[in-house]
Amino acid sequence: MTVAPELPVSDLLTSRPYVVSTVRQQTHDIVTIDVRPEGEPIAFVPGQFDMVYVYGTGEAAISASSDPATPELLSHTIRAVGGVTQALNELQPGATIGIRGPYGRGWPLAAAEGRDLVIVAGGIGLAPVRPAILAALAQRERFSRIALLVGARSPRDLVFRDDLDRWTADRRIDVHVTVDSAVRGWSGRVGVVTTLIPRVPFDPEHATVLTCGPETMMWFTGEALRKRGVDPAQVYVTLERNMKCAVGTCGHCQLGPVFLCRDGPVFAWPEVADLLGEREL
Amino acid sequence: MRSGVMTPTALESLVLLLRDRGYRVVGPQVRDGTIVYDELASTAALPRGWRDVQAPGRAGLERRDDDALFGYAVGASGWKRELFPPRQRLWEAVSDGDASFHVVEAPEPDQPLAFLGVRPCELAAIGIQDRVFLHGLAEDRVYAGHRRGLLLVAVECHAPAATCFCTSIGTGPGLDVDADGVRAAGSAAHATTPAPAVPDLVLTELLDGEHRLLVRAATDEGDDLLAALEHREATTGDLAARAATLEAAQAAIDRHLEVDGLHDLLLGNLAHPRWDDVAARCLACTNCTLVCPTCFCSTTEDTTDLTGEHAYHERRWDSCFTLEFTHTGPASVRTSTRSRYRQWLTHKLATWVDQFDTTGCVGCGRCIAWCPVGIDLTEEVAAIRATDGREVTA
Amino acid sequence: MTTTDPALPQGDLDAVRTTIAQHPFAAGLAVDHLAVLAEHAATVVVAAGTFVFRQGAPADTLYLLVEGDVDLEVAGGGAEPLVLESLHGGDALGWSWLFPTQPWLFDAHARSATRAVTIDGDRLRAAVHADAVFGRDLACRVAALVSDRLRHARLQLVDSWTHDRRA
Repeated sequence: MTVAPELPVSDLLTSRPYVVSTVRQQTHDIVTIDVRPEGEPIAFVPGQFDMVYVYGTGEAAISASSDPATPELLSHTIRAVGGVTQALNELQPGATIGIRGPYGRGWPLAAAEGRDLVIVAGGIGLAPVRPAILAALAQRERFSRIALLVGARSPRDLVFRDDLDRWTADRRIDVHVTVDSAVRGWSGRVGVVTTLIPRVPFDPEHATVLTCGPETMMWFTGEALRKRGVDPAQVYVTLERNMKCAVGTCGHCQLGPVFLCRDGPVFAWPEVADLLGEREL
Repeated sequence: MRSGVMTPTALESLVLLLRDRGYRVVGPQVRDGTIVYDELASTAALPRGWRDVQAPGRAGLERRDDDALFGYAVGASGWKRELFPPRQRLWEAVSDGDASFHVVEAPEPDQPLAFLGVRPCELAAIGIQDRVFLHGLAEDRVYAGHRRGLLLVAVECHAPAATCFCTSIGTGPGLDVDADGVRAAGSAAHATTPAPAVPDLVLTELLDGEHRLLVRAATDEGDDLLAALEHREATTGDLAARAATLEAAQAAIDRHLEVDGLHDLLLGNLAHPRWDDVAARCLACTNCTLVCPTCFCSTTEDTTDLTGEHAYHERRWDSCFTLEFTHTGPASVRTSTRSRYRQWLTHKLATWVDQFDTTGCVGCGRCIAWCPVGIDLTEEVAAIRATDGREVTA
Repeated sequence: MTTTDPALPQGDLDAVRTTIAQHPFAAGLAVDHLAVLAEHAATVVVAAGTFVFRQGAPADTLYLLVEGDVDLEVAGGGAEPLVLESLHGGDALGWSWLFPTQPWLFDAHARSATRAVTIDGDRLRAAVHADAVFGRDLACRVAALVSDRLRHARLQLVDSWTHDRRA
């Protein structure tokens, strides 16, 4: 598991100012905000998250969605679901936001070395795996096949379409996109993301899978991967709860014995499968 | 380390001495029909001659027939209020105009704290919160600010309430002080027993014959304080009186929580019908989490002043019993009271061990007394244990 | 528009049998069972933009898609039909033939030129009932197909994008 870079305590708990450089509308309620630090950029590992602060409104836990190679231009992709995320959706370039982090365990890219890397993303779940895709492509020789399976509710709910177009044309990565339903005019596949799993070329016995999406989708994905012959221990998921502190002291993100912020947000499937299977845990 | 015997009036000298040394002294006193811990003006404010009467769903005071200063079990809300205040500013964002701002950390507390009258179970509670706030991923600035320089004057328990069960957990009612440090006396330690915060002075109130206080120093600072206080050598009679007091306290505790196999028992019974049973009684009022000396959950609140030039990022106590607590995106994870009570109890007694290597319960019984419907966790655990739903594997 | 497949001469049982044998639906099928399928099979090409079958028409065929993209659509009352699932080369389409006199519930619209093997549903059903071993094998294959499709439909039904906490 990739470990967070060591940071002084103050950096873990203090919000630092970042200036919004661009705001990109991804869907009707999802934006990607690119920010630049006022001070030194802080490195992050793909899969880690930040606490993003809007002046006077509050903080929200958001995964970094940008290239880890360029921490001086940090992005977060945010769906408007509450007060803070709505305020983030309404930001204009030039505004200052606060960011503290990064927090948590990232994607196990090192563990996938020499293996097929399969990434399954649902909806906005493409955002937390995007840094892993970029990092993997930057060190393409470390992996055998790289496959990206993307699902969304409808074509208009797809995020990072420019990237998808770019990666589709990139022979180093095998991209499959599907939507749950569509009207005519959509030239891609129609069907839930799990329909892709039996047919995408990869070696189930030598594959490491990164999954990010709604819990139900990850559950079905885990089952489809098991059916394909992938060892569940090689399937990684990222989970979400309403983190407030991000350092394991506010209690909000507990899932049984686990603090998602501290012990996750990335977990090997067997670490959390039973916990996720228990209702209202 | 020094030890000895001092008179109750010498306690006033201790308070003055502490104040002279710059401490804000906090101690027990009677308020609103109960005992609370707050800034202590003088020892005259101590709950002299009062005992607390606690039972499931009941907490009150009644007169003792002596002048005991520490003749009660525990105050309504613990010392948590001081180290981890119910509302704390974490930082402030100051507007620089043009949609930019800078962040200013909340100032460190300007005065060290001294707690007078800390029970052994409460030392254990502080020890538990130390693990959460000081020894986690990042030291909590607010907690550390209050905890650093904290002076602890512990008092062994001679008046346990009917809700007490420290003897089950291994956290009281007494304290042994020797070269190896300080640990609970009067009960056996288990694998999950929390280590107490180290007190500076340990008092034992002796009420047989002459009203007096046996005092033992456990740190250099405690030793230094005791050196400055009037006291005499402890006699074998004093020591025997302490032993008898402790024995009586231990014998007076008849509530029991069986901790053997507790972790697996609870986590193996997440589907037990008892959770429905308790949910039918539980009001999800959050009282138990507020009075619990170890519950540490919090949420944050952001506000701005009228000018909009200052935005405050504050932390306040939260409770896993609220619907809002697990609100993520469009919905809450724990919508039923069943799931929220289960979360509280399984966290306190089971997953806490996974997270912090100790139980989250010190056996103080506050959650039993302050529950408006008298839910008693020892009874809930016993009910689950009696009808353990786990499949027995060979 | 459905025409016979010029790439595969009709009546060439060997060629049809080979095509069926290479299709995932028939993976591992016994040679004599393969022969039964081939006996009732034809190969077709469906032109892009035309229908493989229409909603309401008798569901009397099993399609083994060899190449191309077919959308399962519901027209409803809307101006534009909604695509519920797209099927592609390697997919099997249609199981209603297993039960007599059922209509298709969807339109199957060829988005691109589609090559398929069609197997006569009535004859296949008769073969299923005539030979218990063949019948059980085929019924299991259809059940697996239905199970997969049902699993997908359920995930769609959950609408995890809005039901779940992260979407």
